[in-house]
Amino acid sequence: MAQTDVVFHQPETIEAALSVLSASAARPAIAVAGGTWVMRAGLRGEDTDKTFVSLAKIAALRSIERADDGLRIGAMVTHADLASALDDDPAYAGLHRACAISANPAIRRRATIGGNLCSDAFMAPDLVPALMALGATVNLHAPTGERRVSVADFLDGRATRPASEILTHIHLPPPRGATAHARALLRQAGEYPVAVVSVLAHCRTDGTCQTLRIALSAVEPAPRRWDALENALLGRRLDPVAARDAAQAHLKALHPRDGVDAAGWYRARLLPQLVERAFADLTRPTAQRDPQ
Amino acid sequence: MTVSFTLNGRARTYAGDPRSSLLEVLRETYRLTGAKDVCGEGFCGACMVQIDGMPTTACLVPVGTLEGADVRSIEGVGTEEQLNPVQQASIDFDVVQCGMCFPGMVMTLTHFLQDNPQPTREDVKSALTGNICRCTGYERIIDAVMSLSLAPKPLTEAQP
Repeated sequence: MAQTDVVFHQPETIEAALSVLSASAARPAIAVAGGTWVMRAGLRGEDTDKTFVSLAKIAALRSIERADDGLRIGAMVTHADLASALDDDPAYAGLHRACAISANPAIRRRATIGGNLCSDAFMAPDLVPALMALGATVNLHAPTGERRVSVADFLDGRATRPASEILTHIHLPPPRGATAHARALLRQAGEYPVAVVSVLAHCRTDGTCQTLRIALSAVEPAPRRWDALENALLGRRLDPVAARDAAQAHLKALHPRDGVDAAGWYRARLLPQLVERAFADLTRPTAQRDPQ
Repeated sequence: MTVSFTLNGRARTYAGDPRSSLLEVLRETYRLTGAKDVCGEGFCGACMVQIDGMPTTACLVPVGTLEGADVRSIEGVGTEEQLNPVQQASIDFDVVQCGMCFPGMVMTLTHFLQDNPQPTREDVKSALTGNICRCTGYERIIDAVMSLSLAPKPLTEAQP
Protein backbone atom coordinates (compact mmCIF):
# COMPACT_ATOMS: atom_id res chain seq x y z
CA MET A 1 0.00 0.00 0.00
CA ALA A 2 1.28 3.46 -0.84
CA GLN A 3 1.70 5.77 2.15
CA THR A 4 -1.25 7.90 1.01
CA ASP A 5 -3.49 4.82 1.14
CA VAL A 6 -2.83 4.04 4.78
CA VAL A 7 -6.23 4.24 6.46
CA PHE A 8 -5.29 3.08 9.94
CA HIS A 9 -2.57 4.32 12.26
CA GLN A 10 -1.79 3.20 15.78
CA PRO A 11 0.89 5.58 17.04
CA GLU A 12 2.57 5.04 20.42
CA THR A 13 3.13 8.67 21.40
CA ILE A 14 0.99 11.82 21.43
CA GLU A 15 3.54 13.52 19.16
CA ALA A 16 3.31 10.75 16.57
CA ALA A 17 -0.49 10.89 16.65
CA LEU A 18 -0.44 14.69 16.19
CA SER A 19 1.92 14.30 13.27
CA VAL A 20 -0.51 11.97 11.46
CA LEU A 21 -3.54 14.09 12.34
CA SER A 22 -1.93 17.29 11.06
CA ALA A 23 -0.46 15.86 7.82
CA SER A 24 -2.36 16.83 4.70
CA ALA A 25 -3.92 13.75 3.14
CA ALA A 26 -6.47 12.62 0.59
CA ARG A 27 -9.05 11.80 3.23
CA PRO A 28 -9.78 13.38 6.61
CA ALA A 29 -8.13 11.83 9.65
CA ILE A 30 -10.00 11.17 12.85
CA ALA A 31 -8.74 10.25 16.32
CA VAL A 32 -10.32 7.00 17.53
CA ALA A 33 -10.54 6.35 21.28
CA GLY A 34 -12.83 3.49 22.40
CA GLY A 35 -14.54 3.44 19.00
CA THR A 36 -18.08 3.16 20.36
CA TRP A 37 -19.16 6.42 18.68
CA VAL A 38 -16.91 6.49 15.61
CA MET A 39 -17.84 2.95 14.57
CA ARG A 40 -21.47 4.01 14.27
CA ALA A 41 -20.80 6.87 11.85
CA GLY A 42 -22.35 4.91 8.98
CA LEU A 43 -25.62 4.45 10.87
CA ARG A 44 -25.75 8.21 11.36
CA GLY A 45 -25.27 8.77 7.64
CA GLU A 46 -21.82 10.31 8.13
CA ASP A 47 -18.77 9.88 5.92
CA THR A 48 -17.03 6.67 6.96
CA ASP A 49 -14.03 6.94 4.66
CA LYS A 50 -11.70 8.59 7.15
CA THR A 51 -8.20 7.70 8.22
CA PHE A 52 -8.38 6.19 11.70
CA VAL A 53 -5.73 7.32 14.16
CA SER A 54 -6.22 4.91 17.06
CA LEU A 55 -5.05 6.26 20.42
CA ALA A 56 -5.16 2.81 22.03
CA LYS A 57 -1.38 2.29 22.13
CA ILE A 58 -0.50 5.61 23.77
CA ALA A 59 0.22 4.58 27.36
CA ALA A 60 0.37 8.20 28.56
CA LEU A 61 -3.36 8.59 27.90
CA ARG A 62 -4.38 5.70 30.16
CA SER A 63 -3.24 6.81 33.61
CA ILE A 64 -5.17 8.17 36.57
CA GLU A 65 -2.98 10.23 38.90
CA ARG A 66 -3.83 11.72 42.27
CA ALA A 67 -1.91 14.82 43.30
CA ASP A 68 -2.29 17.74 45.74
CA ASP A 69 -3.94 19.81 43.05
CA GLY A 70 -6.53 17.14 42.31
CA LEU A 71 -7.06 14.22 40.01
CA ARG A 72 -5.64 13.87 36.51
CA ILE A 73 -7.53 11.39 34.32
CA GLY A 74 -6.09 10.27 30.99
CA ALA A 75 -8.43 10.64 28.02
CA MET A 76 -8.27 6.92 27.20
CA VAL A 77 -9.44 5.85 30.67
CA THR A 78 -12.66 3.87 30.21
CA HIS A 79 -15.89 4.32 32.14
CA ALA A 80 -15.22 0.98 33.90
CA ASP A 81 -11.62 1.89 34.81
CA LEU A 82 -12.71 5.22 36.23
CA ALA A 83 -15.54 3.60 38.19
CA SER A 84 -13.11 1.21 39.88
CA ALA A 85 -10.56 3.95 40.55
CA LEU A 86 -13.17 6.14 42.26
CA ASP A 87 -14.99 3.30 43.99
CA ASP A 88 -14.57 4.14 47.65
CA ASP A 89 -14.11 7.89 47.38
CA PRO A 90 -17.28 9.65 48.60
CA ALA A 91 -16.04 13.00 47.27
CA TYR A 92 -16.55 11.71 43.74
CA ALA A 93 -19.88 9.94 44.35
CA GLY A 94 -21.62 11.72 41.45
CA LEU A 95 -18.89 11.00 38.92
CA HIS A 96 -18.61 7.42 40.15
CA ARG A 97 -22.31 6.89 39.61
CA ALA A 98 -22.10 8.45 36.15
CA CYS A 99 -19.40 6.09 34.94
CA ALA A 100 -20.59 3.00 36.84
CA ILE A 101 -24.15 2.91 35.48
CA SER A 102 -23.93 4.53 32.06
CA ALA A 103 -24.76 2.34 29.02
CA ASN A 104 -24.01 -1.36 29.70
CA PRO A 105 -21.04 -3.35 31.05
CA ALA A 106 -19.42 -4.09 27.67
CA ILE A 107 -19.68 -0.46 26.53
CA ARG A 108 -18.35 0.80 29.88
CA ARG A 109 -15.26 -1.33 29.37
CA ARG A 110 -14.53 0.33 26.00
CA ALA A 111 -16.04 3.83 25.95
CA THR A 112 -13.55 6.41 27.21
CA ILE A 113 -13.82 9.67 29.13
CA GLY A 114 -12.08 11.54 26.29
CA GLY A 115 -14.39 10.03 23.69
CA ASN A 116 -17.41 10.99 25.78
CA LEU A 117 -16.21 14.62 25.75
CA CYS A 118 -15.20 14.72 22.07
CA SER A 119 -18.31 13.12 20.51
CA ASP A 120 -19.98 16.41 19.69
CA ALA A 121 -23.14 14.90 18.22
CA PHE A 122 -23.82 12.66 21.23
CA MET A 123 -26.52 14.41 23.21
CA ALA A 124 -26.94 12.19 26.28
CA PRO A 125 -23.55 11.71 27.98
CA ASP A 126 -23.40 10.94 31.70
CA LEU A 127 -19.75 11.75 32.31
CA VAL A 128 -19.80 15.25 30.84
CA PRO A 129 -22.32 16.79 33.27
CA ALA A 130 -20.64 15.01 36.20
CA LEU A 131 -17.32 16.57 35.14
CA MET A 132 -18.95 20.01 34.80
CA ALA A 133 -20.34 19.70 38.33
CA LEU A 134 -16.84 18.97 39.61
CA GLY A 135 -15.38 22.03 37.86
CA ALA A 136 -13.20 19.94 35.53
CA THR A 137 -10.84 21.32 32.92
CA VAL A 138 -9.53 19.53 29.86
CA ASN A 139 -6.01 19.58 28.47
CA LEU A 140 -5.75 19.94 24.70
CA HIS A 141 -2.53 19.13 22.86
CA ALA A 142 -1.88 20.49 19.35
CA PRO A 143 1.34 20.68 17.32
CA THR A 144 1.55 24.36 18.36
CA GLY A 145 1.35 23.60 22.09
CA GLU A 146 -1.00 22.74 24.92
CA ARG A 147 -3.94 24.60 26.41
CA ARG A 148 -6.29 23.99 29.27
CA VAL A 149 -9.93 25.04 29.13
CA SER A 150 -13.04 24.49 31.20
CA VAL A 151 -15.41 21.75 30.07
CA ALA A 152 -18.03 24.41 29.23
CA ASP A 153 -15.60 26.30 26.98
CA PHE A 154 -14.48 23.05 25.40
CA LEU A 155 -18.09 22.14 24.56
CA ASP A 156 -18.71 25.58 23.06
CA GLY A 157 -15.82 25.24 20.63
CA ARG A 158 -16.11 21.51 20.10
CA ALA A 159 -17.72 21.47 16.66
CA THR A 160 -14.99 23.65 15.16
CA ARG A 161 -11.94 22.09 16.78
CA PRO A 162 -8.88 21.64 14.58
CA ALA A 163 -8.41 18.01 13.51
CA SER A 164 -4.82 18.13 14.70
CA GLU A 165 -5.64 18.47 18.39
CA ILE A 166 -5.90 15.70 20.97
CA LEU A 167 -7.69 15.90 24.28
CA THR A 168 -5.01 14.29 26.46
CA HIS A 169 -6.41 14.43 29.97
CA ILE A 170 -9.03 15.82 32.29
CA HIS A 171 -8.12 17.62 35.48
CA LEU A 172 -10.41 17.63 38.50
CA PRO A 173 -9.69 20.12 41.30
CA PRO A 174 -9.77 18.68 44.84
CA PRO A 175 -13.51 18.24 45.47
CA ARG A 176 -15.03 20.54 48.07
CA GLY A 177 -18.53 19.44 48.99
CA ALA A 178 -20.82 16.60 48.04
CA THR A 179 -21.80 15.42 44.57
CA ALA A 180 -24.78 13.53 43.18
CA HIS A 181 -25.91 12.30 39.78
CA ALA A 182 -29.55 11.57 38.87
CA ARG A 183 -30.77 10.22 35.56
CA ALA A 184 -34.04 9.05 34.06
CA LEU A 185 -34.41 6.20 31.59
CA LEU A 186 -37.53 5.03 29.83
CA ARG A 187 -36.42 1.45 30.49
CA GLN A 188 -33.66 0.18 32.72
CA ALA A 189 -31.81 -1.89 30.16
CA GLY A 190 -28.80 0.09 29.07
CA GLU A 191 -30.44 2.85 27.07
CA TYR A 192 -29.52 6.50 26.82
CA PRO A 193 -30.93 8.60 29.63
CA VAL A 194 -33.66 11.03 28.55
CA ALA A 195 -32.59 13.55 31.20
CA VAL A 196 -29.60 13.83 33.55
CA VAL A 197 -28.87 16.18 36.47
CA SER A 198 -25.43 16.26 38.11
CA VAL A 199 -24.78 18.43 41.17
CA LEU A 200 -21.94 19.59 43.41
CA ALA A 201 -22.86 21.47 46.58
CA HIS A 202 -20.48 22.81 49.21
CA CYS A 203 -22.12 24.20 52.34
CA ARG A 204 -20.91 26.49 55.12
CA THR A 205 -21.04 25.33 58.74
CA ASP A 206 -24.47 26.99 59.07
CA GLY A 207 -25.75 24.70 56.29
CA THR A 208 -26.13 27.35 53.62
CA CYS A 209 -24.80 26.65 50.17
CA GLN A 210 -21.52 28.38 49.34
CA THR A 211 -20.71 26.65 46.05
CA LEU A 212 -23.30 25.08 43.80
CA ARG A 213 -22.88 23.64 40.34
CA ILE A 214 -25.82 22.02 38.57
CA ALA A 215 -25.25 20.50 35.12
CA LEU A 216 -27.82 19.08 32.71
CA SER A 217 -27.42 16.46 30.02
CA ALA A 218 -29.70 14.84 27.43
CA VAL A 219 -32.21 17.68 27.74
CA GLU A 220 -30.73 20.20 25.31
CA PRO A 221 -28.51 19.30 22.32
CA ALA A 222 -25.39 19.63 24.51
CA PRO A 223 -24.79 19.38 28.26
CA ARG A 224 -24.62 22.66 30.12
CA ARG A 225 -24.67 24.29 33.54
CA TRP A 226 -28.13 25.35 34.72
CA ASP A 227 -26.89 28.67 36.07
CA ALA A 228 -30.34 30.18 36.60
CA LEU A 229 -31.16 27.39 39.05
CA GLU A 230 -27.74 27.61 40.69
CA ASN A 231 -28.27 31.32 41.33
CA ALA A 232 -31.73 30.70 42.74
CA LEU A 233 -30.45 28.13 45.25
CA LEU A 234 -27.07 29.58 46.19
CA GLY A 235 -26.90 30.81 49.80
CA ARG A 236 -29.85 28.63 50.83
CA ARG A 237 -29.86 25.36 52.75
CA LEU A 238 -29.93 22.10 50.81
CA ASP A 239 -33.61 21.24 50.64
CA PRO A 240 -34.72 18.68 48.05
CA VAL A 241 -38.31 19.92 47.88
CA ALA A 242 -37.32 23.58 47.63
CA ALA A 243 -34.80 22.64 44.93
CA ARG A 244 -37.52 20.78 43.01
CA ASP A 245 -39.84 23.79 43.18
CA ALA A 246 -37.09 26.16 42.07
CA ALA A 247 -36.30 23.85 39.12
CA GLN A 248 -39.98 23.88 38.15
CA ALA A 249 -39.95 27.67 38.19
CA HIS A 250 -36.91 27.83 35.90
CA LEU A 251 -37.96 25.31 33.23
CA LYS A 252 -39.23 27.92 30.80
CA ALA A 253 -35.78 29.26 30.00
CA LEU A 254 -34.56 25.86 28.76
CA HIS A 255 -34.61 24.72 25.14
CA PRO A 256 -35.30 20.99 25.40
CA ARG A 257 -34.81 18.88 22.32
CA ASP A 258 -37.19 16.44 20.69
CA GLY A 259 -35.78 12.98 20.01
CA VAL A 260 -37.07 9.59 18.97
CA ASP A 261 -36.79 8.41 22.58
CA ALA A 262 -38.60 11.35 24.18
CA ALA A 263 -40.14 14.69 23.30
CA GLY A 264 -38.56 17.88 24.60
CA TRP A 265 -41.45 18.77 26.90
CA TYR A 266 -41.11 15.38 28.57
CA ARG A 267 -37.39 15.77 29.20
CA ALA A 268 -38.04 19.14 30.83
CA ARG A 269 -40.90 17.74 32.88
CA LEU A 270 -38.57 15.14 34.42
CA LEU A 271 -36.06 17.72 35.62
CA PRO A 272 -37.72 18.90 38.86
CA GLN A 273 -37.92 15.28 40.07
CA LEU A 274 -34.32 14.62 39.09
CA VAL A 275 -33.18 17.76 40.89
CA GLU A 276 -35.09 16.65 43.99
CA ARG A 277 -33.54 13.19 43.79
CA ALA A 278 -30.02 14.60 43.38
CA PHE A 279 -30.46 17.00 46.30
CA ALA A 280 -31.84 14.18 48.44
CA ASP A 281 -28.71 12.18 47.61
CA LEU A 282 -26.47 15.09 48.62
CA THR A 283 -27.95 15.08 52.09
CA ARG A 284 -27.69 11.35 52.87
CA PRO A 285 -24.76 8.98 53.42
CA THR A 286 -23.36 7.35 50.27
CA ALA A 287 -24.33 3.83 51.29
CA GLN A 288 -28.00 4.71 51.51
CA ARG A 289 -28.30 6.32 48.13
CA ASP A 290 -31.06 5.66 45.67
CA PRO A 291 -29.84 2.79 43.48
CA GLN A 292 -31.85 3.92 40.41
CA MET B 1 -1.25 -3.39 6.64
CA THR B 2 -2.12 -6.77 8.11
CA VAL B 3 -3.44 -7.62 11.55
CA SER B 4 -2.38 -10.80 13.31
CA PHE B 5 -4.43 -12.16 16.16
CA THR B 6 -5.65 -15.42 17.64
CA LEU B 7 -9.20 -16.46 16.82
CA ASN B 8 -10.61 -19.36 18.84
CA GLY B 9 -7.07 -20.55 19.49
CA ARG B 10 -5.94 -20.36 15.88
CA ALA B 11 -3.47 -17.77 14.53
CA ARG B 12 -5.02 -15.53 11.88
CA THR B 13 -3.65 -12.76 9.71
CA TYR B 14 -6.23 -10.38 8.31
CA ALA B 15 -5.27 -8.29 5.28
CA GLY B 16 -8.48 -6.36 4.50
CA ASP B 17 -9.58 -2.89 5.60
CA PRO B 18 -8.40 -2.44 9.23
CA ARG B 19 -11.31 -0.05 9.88
CA SER B 20 -13.82 -2.88 9.41
CA SER B 21 -15.59 -4.02 12.53
CA LEU B 22 -14.54 -7.28 14.09
CA LEU B 23 -18.14 -8.44 13.58
CA GLU B 24 -17.94 -7.90 9.83
CA VAL B 25 -14.61 -9.72 9.67
CA LEU B 26 -15.86 -12.67 11.74
CA ARG B 27 -18.92 -13.09 9.57
CA GLU B 28 -17.64 -12.16 6.09
CA THR B 29 -14.00 -13.24 6.14
CA TYR B 30 -13.97 -16.17 8.54
CA ARG B 31 -17.59 -17.26 8.04
CA LEU B 32 -18.16 -17.43 11.77
CA THR B 33 -21.80 -16.40 11.93
CA GLY B 34 -22.51 -17.16 15.59
CA ALA B 35 -22.03 -13.49 16.48
CA LYS B 36 -25.15 -11.82 15.08
CA ASP B 37 -25.37 -8.53 13.22
CA VAL B 38 -28.38 -6.91 14.87
CA CYS B 39 -28.36 -3.32 16.19
CA GLY B 40 -24.84 -2.32 15.20
CA GLU B 41 -24.79 0.11 18.13
CA GLY B 42 -23.66 -1.83 21.18
CA PHE B 43 -27.16 -1.89 22.67
CA CYS B 44 -28.30 -5.44 22.02
CA GLY B 45 -25.29 -7.68 22.72
CA ALA B 46 -26.06 -10.16 19.93
CA CYS B 47 -22.50 -9.78 18.57
CA MET B 48 -20.76 -10.24 21.93
CA VAL B 49 -17.36 -11.95 21.73
CA GLN B 50 -14.47 -12.06 24.17
CA ILE B 51 -11.33 -10.06 23.45
CA ASP B 52 -8.50 -11.00 25.82
CA GLY B 53 -11.17 -12.59 27.98
CA MET B 54 -13.47 -9.56 28.21
CA PRO B 55 -16.96 -9.55 26.69
CA THR B 56 -17.01 -6.97 23.90
CA THR B 57 -19.54 -5.96 21.26
CA ALA B 58 -17.75 -6.95 18.05
CA CYS B 59 -19.72 -4.41 15.98
CA LEU B 60 -17.87 -1.50 17.60
CA VAL B 61 -14.27 -2.76 17.44
CA PRO B 62 -12.13 -1.80 14.45
CA VAL B 63 -10.20 -4.94 13.60
CA GLY B 64 -7.01 -2.88 13.20
CA THR B 65 -6.84 -2.49 16.98
CA LEU B 66 -6.59 -6.26 17.50
CA GLU B 67 -2.92 -6.87 16.70
CA GLY B 68 -1.80 -9.58 19.14
CA ALA B 69 -5.26 -9.96 20.70
CA ASP B 70 -6.90 -13.20 21.76
CA VAL B 71 -10.39 -13.28 20.24
CA ARG B 72 -12.93 -15.91 21.19
CA SER B 73 -16.35 -16.20 19.60
CA ILE B 74 -19.23 -18.53 20.43
CA GLU B 75 -17.74 -21.07 18.02
CA GLY B 76 -14.72 -21.32 20.32
CA VAL B 77 -16.21 -21.87 23.77
CA GLY B 78 -17.15 -25.53 23.60
CA THR B 79 -17.47 -28.54 21.34
CA GLU B 80 -20.52 -30.59 20.42
CA GLU B 81 -19.28 -33.33 22.76
CA GLN B 82 -18.31 -30.96 25.58
CA LEU B 83 -20.49 -27.88 25.77
CA ASN B 84 -19.49 -24.91 27.84
CA PRO B 85 -21.37 -25.01 31.21
CA VAL B 86 -23.57 -22.04 30.27
CA GLN B 87 -24.52 -23.75 27.01
CA GLN B 88 -25.31 -27.02 28.82
CA ALA B 89 -27.36 -25.30 31.52
CA SER B 90 -29.27 -23.49 28.78
CA ILE B 91 -30.28 -26.80 27.25
CA ASP B 92 -31.12 -28.26 30.65
CA PHE B 93 -33.38 -25.31 31.48
CA ASP B 94 -34.87 -25.03 27.97
CA VAL B 95 -33.68 -21.45 27.72
CA VAL B 96 -33.21 -20.88 24.01
CA GLN B 97 -36.13 -19.64 21.97
CA CYS B 98 -35.29 -17.95 18.63
CA GLY B 99 -31.54 -18.11 19.29
CA MET B 100 -30.65 -14.63 18.00
CA CYS B 101 -29.46 -13.24 21.32
CA PHE B 102 -28.08 -16.47 22.57
CA PRO B 103 -24.45 -16.58 21.44
CA GLY B 104 -23.97 -13.15 23.00
CA MET B 105 -25.66 -14.23 26.22
CA VAL B 106 -23.26 -17.17 26.52
CA MET B 107 -20.22 -14.94 25.98
CA THR B 108 -21.37 -12.44 28.62
CA LEU B 109 -22.47 -15.02 31.18
CA THR B 110 -19.39 -17.23 30.85
CA HIS B 111 -17.19 -14.28 31.78
CA PHE B 112 -19.62 -13.12 34.46
CA LEU B 113 -19.59 -16.49 36.25
CA GLN B 114 -15.79 -16.53 36.29
CA ASP B 115 -15.80 -13.26 38.25
CA ASN B 116 -19.00 -13.94 40.20
CA PRO B 117 -19.25 -17.65 41.01
CA GLN B 118 -22.05 -17.09 43.55
CA PRO B 119 -24.25 -14.38 42.06
CA THR B 120 -27.68 -13.23 43.18
CA ARG B 121 -30.49 -12.99 40.63
CA GLU B 122 -30.07 -9.20 40.75
CA ASP B 123 -26.37 -9.57 39.92
CA VAL B 124 -27.27 -11.65 36.88
CA LYS B 125 -29.80 -9.07 35.72
CA SER B 126 -27.22 -6.28 36.00
CA ALA B 127 -24.70 -8.36 34.07
CA LEU B 128 -27.24 -8.84 31.27
CA THR B 129 -27.97 -5.12 30.89
CA GLY B 130 -26.34 -5.13 27.47
CA ASN B 131 -27.83 -8.40 26.21
CA ILE B 132 -31.36 -8.02 24.95
CA CYS B 133 -33.70 -10.99 24.44
CA ARG B 134 -36.83 -10.10 22.49
CA CYS B 135 -38.43 -13.50 23.15
CA THR B 136 -38.42 -12.32 26.80
CA GLY B 137 -36.89 -15.49 28.11
CA TYR B 138 -34.95 -13.73 30.84
CA GLU B 139 -36.29 -15.61 33.85
CA ARG B 140 -35.30 -18.99 32.48
CA ILE B 141 -31.91 -17.61 31.51
CA ILE B 142 -31.43 -16.49 35.10
CA ASP B 143 -32.65 -19.87 36.40
CA ALA B 144 -29.99 -21.54 34.24
CA VAL B 145 -27.25 -19.23 35.52
CA MET B 146 -28.30 -19.74 39.13
CA SER B 147 -28.03 -23.52 38.64
CA LEU B 148 -24.31 -22.98 37.97
CA SER B 149 -23.77 -20.99 41.13
CA LEU B 150 -21.22 -22.46 43.49
CA ALA B 151 -23.37 -21.43 46.45
CA PRO B 152 -24.54 -24.34 48.58
CA LYS B 153 -27.94 -25.51 47.40
CA PRO B 154 -30.77 -25.14 49.93
CA LEU B 155 -31.92 -28.45 51.36
CA THR B 156 -35.16 -29.62 49.83
CA GLU B 157 -35.88 -32.33 52.38
CA ALA B 158 -34.88 -33.09 55.91
CA GLN B 159 -31.70 -35.08 56.33
CA PRO B 160 -32.02 -38.34 58.22
